[in-house]
Amino acid sequence: MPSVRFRLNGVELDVDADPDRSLLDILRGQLGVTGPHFGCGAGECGACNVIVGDRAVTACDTPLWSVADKDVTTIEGLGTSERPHPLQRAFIAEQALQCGYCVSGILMSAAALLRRNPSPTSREVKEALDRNLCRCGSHQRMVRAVLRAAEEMAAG
Amino acid sequence: MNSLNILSGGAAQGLVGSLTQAFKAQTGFDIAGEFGAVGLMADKLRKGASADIVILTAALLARLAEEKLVVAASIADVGLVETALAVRAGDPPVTVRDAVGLREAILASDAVFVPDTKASTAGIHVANVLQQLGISDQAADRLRIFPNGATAMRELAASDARRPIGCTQSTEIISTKGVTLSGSLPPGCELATMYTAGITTAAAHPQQAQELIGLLTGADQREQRKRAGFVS
Ligand code: FES
Ligand code: FES
Repeated sequence: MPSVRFRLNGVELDVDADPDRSLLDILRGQLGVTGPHFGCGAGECGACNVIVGDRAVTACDTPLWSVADKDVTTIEGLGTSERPHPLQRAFIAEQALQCGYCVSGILMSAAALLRRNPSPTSREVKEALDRNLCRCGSHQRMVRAVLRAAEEMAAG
Repeated sequence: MNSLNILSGGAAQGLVGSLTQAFKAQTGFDIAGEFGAVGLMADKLRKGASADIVILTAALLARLAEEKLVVAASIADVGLVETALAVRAGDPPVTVRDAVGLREAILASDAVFVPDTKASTAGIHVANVLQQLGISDQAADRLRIFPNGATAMRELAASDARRPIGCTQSTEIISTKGVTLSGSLPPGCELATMYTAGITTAAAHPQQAQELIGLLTGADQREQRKRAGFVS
């Protein structure tokens, strides 16, 4: 079985698996990293979003081979209950989630946005989250939460 | 003989050409494919042209990833390319310091060689700048429009006009014999475009495509990118 090497949340890994399998499948199955969720399985909803390098991508249609030698960040690498990321704090403060199913993917899209654009406008946040679906309809609060996190991060 | 199929903006042709031998030594593969206006290359992919790798503007590649034609995780920045002015080799350079100078240089020229003004990055930009300078109509009869920058520059080199100039991506000017780079566009009219590479979702040779992306973006090739006209 061929092996693919990449860094997951800062830890170097060698994964023995068919390189054509989806990254989501490997993360949730073989590696037990269940933060990225399975929604549509077709690259349409963003529930499975992770960051590869500095871009948010849908893990369900990302072949394992395409992350070779790259940095993959999942929600598990963003923050912890003890030390939440400013985005996670802001989502709680703004009560920006209902069922929460979409949120790990949305947080990864937002984190990728804030890495390349630390002070986005509301329109830029909406554009960055445009491809993330939330069936609970929490979008407006989520946009507010991302803007709040950006302010908090700018204030240091 | 195996070859890797590429669809690329003309801006990356010189760089890809300079890496062909190293790529062959590394993989045993040749590079085949097409270089042209980015919009046309994207449409070819959309229409089902077989390609393993595409090198296009960052914005266009992001769109192709959304359309699921390119693997998003494979996308990597190659570098920034400036849109610049060119003259025939041997002609005095045109140096423009500001928008007024650019307006004068265009109006003093009897033939302005540019790529496709609807589908190429530099051509679309030239059309916008002419509008911004208020000389779209005046300049229309002197515009010489070609499908891509490389052709426009070859035609500039062969031109028998009195005072021809060209405007396209600096990389295409540098890689064409018979024309000379004559400076960037002035402040307010300038354009620097990020080119990125990505592997198609239908790639027949993703591993080799990955190796080419490694060469295109690798720290060891920084000097080669600079020589080809990439500014970062
Ligand atoms: S589960 Fe990946 S985009 Fe929906
Ligand atoms: S909070 Fe329920 S799907 Fe978004």
